[in-house]
Amino acid sequence: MILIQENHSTPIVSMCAYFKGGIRHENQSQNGITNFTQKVLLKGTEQFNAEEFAFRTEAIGSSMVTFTDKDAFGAHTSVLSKHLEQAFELFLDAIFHPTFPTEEAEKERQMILAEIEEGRDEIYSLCLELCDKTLFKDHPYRLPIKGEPETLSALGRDDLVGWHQKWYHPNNLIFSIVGDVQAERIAEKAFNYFEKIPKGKLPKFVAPTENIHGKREGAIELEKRQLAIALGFLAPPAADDSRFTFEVLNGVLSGMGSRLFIELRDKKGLAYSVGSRYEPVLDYGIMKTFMGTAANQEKAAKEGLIEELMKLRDFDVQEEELLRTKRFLVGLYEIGRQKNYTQAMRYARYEMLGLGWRVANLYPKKIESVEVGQIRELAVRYLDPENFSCAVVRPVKSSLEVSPSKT
Amino acid sequence: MEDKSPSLLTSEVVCDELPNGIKVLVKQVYPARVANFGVWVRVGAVNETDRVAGISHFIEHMLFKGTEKRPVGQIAKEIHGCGGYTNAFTDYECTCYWVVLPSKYLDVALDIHIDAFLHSTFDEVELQKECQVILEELKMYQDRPDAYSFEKLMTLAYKKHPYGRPIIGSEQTLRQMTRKDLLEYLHEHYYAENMFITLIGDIEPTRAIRKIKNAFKGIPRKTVQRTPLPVEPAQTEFRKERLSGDIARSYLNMAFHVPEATHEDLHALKVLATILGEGRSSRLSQTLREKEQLVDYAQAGVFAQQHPGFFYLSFMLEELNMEKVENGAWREIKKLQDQLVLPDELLKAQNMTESDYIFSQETVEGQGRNLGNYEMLGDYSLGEKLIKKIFAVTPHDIQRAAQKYFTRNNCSEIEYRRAEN
Repeated sequence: MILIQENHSTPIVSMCAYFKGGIRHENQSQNGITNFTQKVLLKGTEQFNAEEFAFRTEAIGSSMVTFTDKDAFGAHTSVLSKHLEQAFELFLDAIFHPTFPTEEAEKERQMILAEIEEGRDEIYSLCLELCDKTLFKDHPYRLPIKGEPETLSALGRDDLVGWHQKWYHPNNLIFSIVGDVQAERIAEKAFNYFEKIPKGKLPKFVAPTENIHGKREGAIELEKRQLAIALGFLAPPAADDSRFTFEVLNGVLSGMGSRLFIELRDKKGLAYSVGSRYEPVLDYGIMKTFMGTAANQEKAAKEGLIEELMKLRDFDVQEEELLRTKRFLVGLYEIGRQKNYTQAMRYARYEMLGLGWRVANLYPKKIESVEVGQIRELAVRYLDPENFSCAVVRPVKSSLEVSPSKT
Repeated sequence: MEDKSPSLLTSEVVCDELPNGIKVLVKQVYPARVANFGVWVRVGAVNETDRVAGISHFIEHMLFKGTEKRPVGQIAKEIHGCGGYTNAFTDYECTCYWVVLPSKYLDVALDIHIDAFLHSTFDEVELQKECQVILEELKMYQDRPDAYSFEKLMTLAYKKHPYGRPIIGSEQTLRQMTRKDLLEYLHEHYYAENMFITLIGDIEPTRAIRKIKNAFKGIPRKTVQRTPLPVEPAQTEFRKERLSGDIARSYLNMAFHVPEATHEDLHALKVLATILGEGRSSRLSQTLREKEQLVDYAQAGVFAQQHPGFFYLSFMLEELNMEKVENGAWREIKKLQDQLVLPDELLKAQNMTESDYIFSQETVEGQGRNLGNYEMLGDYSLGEKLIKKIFAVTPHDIQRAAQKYFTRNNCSEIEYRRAEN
């Protein structure tokens, strides 16, 4: 599928290659393989070795970024339109014609291992990752994107090549381009390019059923000064009818004008960072509320987050607040539309989800149609006080008195 | 610059001055249905004394924390209700309050900002709560070894100039800060001639300026003799500090003093930073990451503001590679001093700088930030001019800059090592 939108307001073009796949299709023993494959894509093509590829990409002022998510993976790049011809070839060659040199794969493995280790210093992302791990017992959504040191160490070049053959097919690709392009010209170029690449057979997938029973807890102790806490709930999956209503529910809790920010930061002074995140992914949606706070405020933080969530179950959101939240979400959507990259990713994602790319443009209407009672209904259904996960990264006592020392 | 994209050019900016002296920069950008409105105050961490270190940032937090007619949380709620969001940042030389929202709600943005500037309550109880919030922000940065070691690098490099003092202040100064301190500082620095406004979006400039004039007429004028800042004496010997902590990876940061942002040498230094440490193809990434596998990342950049800044190199690495990485960095520096950069490498760096600048102009927020940052340096159109000058940099300019600034006596180094358990 190729999606092209012309936008000549700036001389910028963004390209996005979006594939179904990602963590959803990994298992414990090869966890991290998608991310690993993605990293080595940039380390040499049939035409250029890693160094030449990096130089040529940056010589036209562009950079290619790969990503791995829970239900998708891919790459994107932005470039000035005067360099589009070169960027187009480099971008697609890396995706469809990588060589996976053994030496480069080994280097990237070491880099990913270092990134995993570095993750210990990022308590917020560590806590959110722990929250997924605690929330899901059976589903691969529990697995970390980068994998674990043991699983990464067991993956070799052949595994990456095999993974590439399994997933990187034109019939699994949504290729979206937004920006200063001539649609017909770039479409022809893309068709010609993809015509030469064979189609593949995509693996079938049956999602394990995940039932949350009871409260699950996960904790890590580190020598840090702050405590991070996250509460996780299952939520509507991405293609569910109630997905946009849940986005509004989440909107009531997220952002600087939201309940969490005003009640827990502004009024109680509990945190600097506080918020809520809804990830509408394919099999299950995930909602996480989180906070960074002082070590002695764990109880107050948890109670505060739960209290705000429960208010959504117990009371209807007032019309005024609903209107404000809807406007906020639609406004954010409009603000995001300024970037070709954001728009290219939105089109590709809605298409991959099976909702169709047009939904990206219908987002304001979907949000505006949400009604008061629907939010409470969803809160009652999903925000169950007896069934959720709680992840905490807490400082060990000694780190509260001791800051980094001079040696 | 691409001729076909007038929406990116600063020649489209309409510049005016309010009767009270506030400068206004307005630019109409047609395709966007949103607008970015920013109020820039020429006060930041450099204007503070040691006793009230962090006060500029504290005021930034308090200014949106309630006014006589808007209780706590009301400002953010109103902006949300318009479909936008508001935020602020404090830098060494400025404090900026900005909002991005659908253009049709410009009046709301104006009303909220003028209310915050003239009628914020600085309520005693709210002040204590916000102090806790800032302390959490401080701890958050201290928990990040990259941010912490960079802060320590600045403290090591600047012995007299206030760039050596963290913007956020310290736990001690924050806890001691009183309402009286905040109000005195506010009255001292928040006056018309010390502010300017940026507005980018789907707005008609003449009408918008009229509205701004009307809204901001109440900001008082004031004639102020600015106290000159302490001058940082030339560094005469190599400085190094070693820190250790329970961190996952180790960090090496190096700084070399360079002139202020508007100095001619900055163009060559900017290109040098790109060649050395921006992107996968940069020299430090290729040698220390890709070939020798000594670092997780290698970066270079220039901290360039109104006063003499610094060129920096930053590395994340495994602790046992510290010496090898340091030697490797000096080896790459020496190559730049001894050999001329080849034309294709120079062109790559120039193209990267041009692209980065144009990418940063893609949104109204980005354009607002660029206009404001360059206006802080004295000329809002400086960004475009800089790109032209970047393309005029020659291999000899780069070599000269490397020889002039990358000396051992001009270098400060922070090693932040993972402690042995």
